[in-house]
Amino acid sequence: MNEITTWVREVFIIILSITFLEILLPEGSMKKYVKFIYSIVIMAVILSPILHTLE
Amino acid sequence: MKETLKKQLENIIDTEKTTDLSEYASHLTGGISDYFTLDEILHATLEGKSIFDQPQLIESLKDLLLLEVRSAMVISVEILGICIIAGLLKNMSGSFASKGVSDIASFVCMISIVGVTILHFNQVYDMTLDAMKTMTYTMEILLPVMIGILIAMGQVTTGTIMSPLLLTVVTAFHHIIKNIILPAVFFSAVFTLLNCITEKDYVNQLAKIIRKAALYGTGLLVTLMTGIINIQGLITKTSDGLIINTAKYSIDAFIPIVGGFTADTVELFLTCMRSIKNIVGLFGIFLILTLILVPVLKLLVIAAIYKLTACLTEPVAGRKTAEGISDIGSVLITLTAILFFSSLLFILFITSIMKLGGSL
Repeated sequence: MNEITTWVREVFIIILSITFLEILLPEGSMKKYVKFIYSIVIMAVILSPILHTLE
Repeated sequence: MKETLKKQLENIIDTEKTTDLSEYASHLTGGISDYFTLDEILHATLEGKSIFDQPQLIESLKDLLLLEVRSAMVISVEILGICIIAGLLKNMSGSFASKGVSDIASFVCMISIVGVTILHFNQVYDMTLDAMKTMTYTMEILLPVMIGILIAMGQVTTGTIMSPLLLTVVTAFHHIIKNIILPAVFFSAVFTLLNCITEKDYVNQLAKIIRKAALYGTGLLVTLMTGIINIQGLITKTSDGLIINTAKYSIDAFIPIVGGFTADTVELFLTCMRSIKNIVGLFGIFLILTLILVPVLKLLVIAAIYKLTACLTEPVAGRKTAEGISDIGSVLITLTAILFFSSLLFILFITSIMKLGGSL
């Protein structure tokens, strides 16, 4: 139960920070690629407990 | 007749515990469970009247409903206020110096909407946990009373086998709901709100899957536990019927003169006990129903107000926010369904015990 709470908290914080960064940083031609990297990061965070249990 | 039944009732069961339970429930349900106490049910059973014959019952229900609606409106007005400010900022985004500033401002408004909603949802969630705990507490007090009556009626095998089984199942059910299913619903609500902050759908499917899994899990659990109890009851019931009938025939056949009278007295005594068991069972069912009435009503009213707020904020704040608030209403309806399933399970348990002793 503690692990699941930690996981939810991590997803929450990552998505808030990334939305914040999306507004601030990307300006210019690199915008699309940075957004794609953000999506990959969020997917990795959502998948992280499964990777932990596989170890 | 009524006095005899009443005296037997006080002899057999611990009326202190049931009065304590009635008072505790009356405090929680705002006076509605006072219409369904043990005395009232006894009175109605013996006079042959209907138990729902009270005009004040409908009045109290209406008062309760209006109170809940009024307290839920406050939240709706808060969310509407914040959404209007957010909409204003978003639509004025062109007239500020840089686009980033107004984007950050609307982001902050979204976060404050999410904050207010989560606080309110936390209160509602705590109330649901409380309702589950009270129902389990009621069952844990009522079940030993009813099993005691079963054993006194001669159904010894049923009583001895069912008593630990029922208590274990009730406690296990409460444990699973409190530690797995209800937290899952809470996480689903958190993800739903998170999804409405961002522009792109990041965790929408995750939230929906967790919520549906919790609901189906509860249904499966209820089916499983009812199946266990009923199958076990069927097996022990046949063995008990044999024992009782053998005992009755032996008394009648082997005791010379007073055998007939004794057997008939035993039969009358068993019928009396059966009525007492059914009365206590009815009391338990009404108690659980009234205990669940207030939380379910509150949850449904708050869900309706959330949906209404979603309708009102859609033109002002945009599609994502309105969808998020509407989905929180759906999460609340899922909570209602879970509460309803658990009350169904407890009522099925009580009815199974009432049926096991043979119907009158």
